[in-house]
Amino acid sequence: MMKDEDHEEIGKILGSKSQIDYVCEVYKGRDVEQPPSPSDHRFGRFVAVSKQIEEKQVEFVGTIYDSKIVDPDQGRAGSRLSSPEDQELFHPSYVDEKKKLVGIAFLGYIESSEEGAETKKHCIPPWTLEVDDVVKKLSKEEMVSFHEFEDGIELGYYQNLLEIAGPLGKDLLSYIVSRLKEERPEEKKSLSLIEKNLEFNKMIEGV
Amino acid sequence: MTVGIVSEPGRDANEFMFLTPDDEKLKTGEFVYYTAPVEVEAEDGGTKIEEQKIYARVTDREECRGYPDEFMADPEVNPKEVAKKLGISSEDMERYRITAKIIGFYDQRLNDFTNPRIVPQAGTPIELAPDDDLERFLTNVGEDVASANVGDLLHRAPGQVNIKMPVDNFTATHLSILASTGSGKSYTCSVIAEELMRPDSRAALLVLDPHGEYHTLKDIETMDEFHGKDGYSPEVKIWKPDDIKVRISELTFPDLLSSLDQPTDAQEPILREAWNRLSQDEYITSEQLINECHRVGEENDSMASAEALDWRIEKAFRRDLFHHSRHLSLDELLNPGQCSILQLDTVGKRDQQMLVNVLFRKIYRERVNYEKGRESKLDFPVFAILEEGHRFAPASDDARSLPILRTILSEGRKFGFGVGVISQRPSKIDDDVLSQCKTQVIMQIQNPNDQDAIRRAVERVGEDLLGELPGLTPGQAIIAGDSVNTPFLCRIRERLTAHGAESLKTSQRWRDSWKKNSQTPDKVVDPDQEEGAEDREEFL
Ligand SMILES: Nc1ncnc2c1ncn2[C@@H]1O[C@H](COP(=O)(O)OP(=O)(O)OP(=O)(O)O)[C@@H](O)[C@H]1O
Ligand SMILES: [Mg+2]
Repeated sequence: MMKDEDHEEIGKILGSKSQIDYVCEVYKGRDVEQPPSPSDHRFGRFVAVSKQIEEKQVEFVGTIYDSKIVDPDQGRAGSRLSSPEDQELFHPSYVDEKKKLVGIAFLGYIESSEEGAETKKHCIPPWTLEVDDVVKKLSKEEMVSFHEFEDGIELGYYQNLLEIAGPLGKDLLSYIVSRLKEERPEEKKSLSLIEKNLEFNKMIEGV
Repeated sequence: MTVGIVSEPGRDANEFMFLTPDDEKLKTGEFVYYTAPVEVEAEDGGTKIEEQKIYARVTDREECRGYPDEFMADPEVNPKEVAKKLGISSEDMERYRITAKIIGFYDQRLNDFTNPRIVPQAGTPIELAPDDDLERFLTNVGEDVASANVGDLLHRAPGQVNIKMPVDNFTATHLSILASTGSGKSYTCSVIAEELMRPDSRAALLVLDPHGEYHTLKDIETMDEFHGKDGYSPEVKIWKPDDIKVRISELTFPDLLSSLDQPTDAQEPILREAWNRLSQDEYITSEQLINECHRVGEENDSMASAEALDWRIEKAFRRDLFHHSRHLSLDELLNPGQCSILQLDTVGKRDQQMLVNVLFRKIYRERVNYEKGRESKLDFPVFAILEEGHRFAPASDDARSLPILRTILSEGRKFGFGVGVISQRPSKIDDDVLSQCKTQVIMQIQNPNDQDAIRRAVERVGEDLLGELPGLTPGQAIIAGDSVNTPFLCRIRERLTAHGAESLKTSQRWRDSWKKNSQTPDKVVDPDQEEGAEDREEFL
């Protein structure tokens, strides 16, 4: 299903904070012929990394949940934006020039067997990525299809994403749900309910 | 089958909680067990520690993890669907916290449960009690004791756990069947009557039938199920209201007094003296009594008072119930293997009370004589069924039958006279009478006063089971009391004979009547002739 020419590469894996939480450095003009546009790596964009795991082709699917810009000339890495933990990760050795970094939460994977059968799973991916693995963006159709199961749309990663994305999690999920709702109007009622709950909870927490 | 895991102790030492994922099976009243080491008596007379199954009854269930409120914010959206979308399987959501009350392990020596007073530790697996265990342990029927198979355990599949009631027990220590109207009291009672007429029991059974609904028991005579290999075949005799008489000489002076229209203080001693002089006579007519009163009046210079009794005596003895010579003879009425049905449907309430008073006194006296080694007409025990029990032993009203019923209910077991009291108004039955019925069959009851009456009269039932009362459907009953080892919910079996009190299907009757009337437009049906038109209290 995922043909390479449909994809635009947006960057490379730079490191990870956990099994599901990765940092990707976004390509700049110098790195590729056609650098990704801002909307290609926006908040909530679904992305994938292809890997060969034993005999199987596996697409790690995730979403961009955070971003950082880094300017080495300004001294320490984006100190105002990052918490002390984060600073450890964005080690000064990487930071030799201005960079745009995005955080990706991996939410599941799609496994294709040699016969071409696909299995989709929303879970913590059991395998790890490597530095320099290429991150591609998913098309709208692929994004929707990642959520489509026998009984309709599912967001089985809901709890995981809320935890990883922290304070931004509810906005992120709202955004994902609203996009799915546009694409699947027949599920509008239940998706709206989830969306409203997210908004309501955010409001309550704000109080 | 493991159905759950103990999570915590309960509110008292006989209670514990366990968690179960199962959402259907464990209803209130279901039986479970865990195993624990218990001190039991050893063969050598000492004690030893042995693993025992400790049984408990489910008394409450609550969902302890349900869908969050927010999943239910839109009534058109099923919370299950939302949960699914968020990757939460609904099985995770449905978990129940069950409260169970410990009954104990079955002590083979005592043939009863013994509560070891050990609450299971958290983490102890809870198993569903096996059908076989329940069938053996719920009631207490020994090898050579006749049993009444009244139905099966409600929460198990039909026929899995048969309920066998020990006949010797409930016929001796009295039985009550209590339920709202239409819940199956008469039906259950007929099932019990059938069981009592089986070759194993061959009861001497008397049924007081105020609604004329027990005649269908007659089928017993011809059905194979009731015939014994030794040639036993039960007899079912029916007495019509016209054949039911009280012989005047069987009355006591207080009976007589209560039958008369308010005699004055001057009349009473005359009547008493006259009655005493006649009391040795086997037959007494109203003329004889009137003449005797005149004689006493003459002797005492109070002729006016004596004569004023004339019309009172005449009026009293004009009642259909009284007769100078006819009566119900015990020889005809009571015999082992015989079910006698007294149809009282056209007998007034006061006459019904008088009849029960005289008849039960007579039976009781014979039974006392027999047990005390004196000459007696009844050398076998008797079991009598009393429908509309509140009519004969009312809580607040006056009834001729109340004193003798009180006596029989409290003393009858010693003399082999048992009574089955049936009522739809337990709150209107005399408390002493109700609490002396040591086996209880309780069916659907809505009325809170009646529920309270049951709570007062019935020990050991438990609020959990009483809470089930309003929701029971016809034929479902709680059986409790001395004939069972622990109370339980029972599905009363179907009758072998037809039921004589099928509920009137009003709309069917309207349709039938309409059809009949429209076919013969000039025929006017006399309302009294119409089937089912009579009100049950009309004659009272
Ligand atoms: N065990 C049972 N199995 C099947 N049907 C039953 C059972 N018990 C009761 N019923 C049904 O319920 C109906 C009412 O039962 P029944 O006549 O015994 O009620 P009741 O409690 O005696 O009412 P009432 O107070 O009017 O005398 C019966 O006609 C019968 O159809
Ligand atoms: Mg009835």
